[in-house]
Amino acid sequence: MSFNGDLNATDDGLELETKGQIHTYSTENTALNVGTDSYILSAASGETTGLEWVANTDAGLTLGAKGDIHTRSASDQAALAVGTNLKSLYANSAETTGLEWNTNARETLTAAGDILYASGANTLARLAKGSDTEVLTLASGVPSWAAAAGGGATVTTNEIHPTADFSTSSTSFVDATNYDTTIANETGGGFIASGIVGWYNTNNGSDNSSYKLVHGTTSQGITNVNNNFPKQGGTPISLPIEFMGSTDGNDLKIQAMVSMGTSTARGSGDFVHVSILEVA
Amino acid sequence: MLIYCEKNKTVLSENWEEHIKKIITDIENLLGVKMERTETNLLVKAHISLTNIPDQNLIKCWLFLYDNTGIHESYSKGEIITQNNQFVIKYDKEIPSTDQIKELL
Repeated sequence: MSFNGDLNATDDGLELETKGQIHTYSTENTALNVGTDSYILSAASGETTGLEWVANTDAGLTLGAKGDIHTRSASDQAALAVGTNLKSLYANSAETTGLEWNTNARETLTAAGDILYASGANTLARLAKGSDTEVLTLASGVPSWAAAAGGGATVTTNEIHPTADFSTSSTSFVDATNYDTTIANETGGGFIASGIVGWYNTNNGSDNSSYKLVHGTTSQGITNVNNNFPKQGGTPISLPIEFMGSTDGNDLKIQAMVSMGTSTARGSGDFVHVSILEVA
Repeated sequence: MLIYCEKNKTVLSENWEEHIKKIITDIENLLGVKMERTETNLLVKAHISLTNIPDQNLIKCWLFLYDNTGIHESYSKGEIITQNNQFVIKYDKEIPSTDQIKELL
């Protein structure tokens, strides 16, 4: 090692004279005075030396446990300990840090089939699954499961789809034999019938042949469907029908009449077909 | 009055329309009255309803000869149903036997 005798060869004669000064450089060698207690040195391109002392905003805060979160109260840094399992972090201005760990939906639902509801304002609650066939209802203002008290639907289907032909010269409605079906007697139930009925007659009049669906008797107030058919060269005319009624054990049947000539429905022609949906 | 009879006979559905025309004509000739109401026969003394069940080789016949003027007769579920009808007059001819009707089906 050798010494050339020039003590200021690299620092240009800069002497650090005050406690804590730091030797730095702007356009020349410069002493940066020590900062305020607890301040830390930060890069600052706008400063002559490119450095400045700034307040250490995390001063004194130690995150000492797994899951701690660095937060702040109104005046200080604060560590918020992690919540218990399955809690969620919510904003809460009433808390010191403005944050709180509280119940969430995932924590509330603990078993398959659980349903989430509010037991009060902003309060989550769990409704455990009910038993098979139970329905969701309201009890004391909150949801609950209960046995169905009606409204459960048992649906059966039936149809009027005869393979017999029927003809009549009657000038009043008469039962079309084999063109009927029994609607089961179910309290509170109902049925819907829909389909097509084809009918024709031997006269060429415009309104000679009529049919109707009858359930029980007309005096029961059940609406009959009554359509008139023209004859077009003996070709049956199919018209849509629909019918709704209550299931009271009476037959749903087709009646026919003709004002002139003879009225005929040909069952095997597949144009008399009424489907009935019963709901018990 | 109801005359009901059945006959074992196979009539295909597509032939039913022609067959019933023959039945009606034959029975009208037997009765001596027109069962079909027409513009030249506005009052009827009888009506006929027929069911043809090809699968069972069976024809069913309900022939009504009206007992009273203005009273239509029909059959439903084991009961004779009567209702007022302005086109109906009393049947006043000889009453045929069931076998006579059956023969014509």
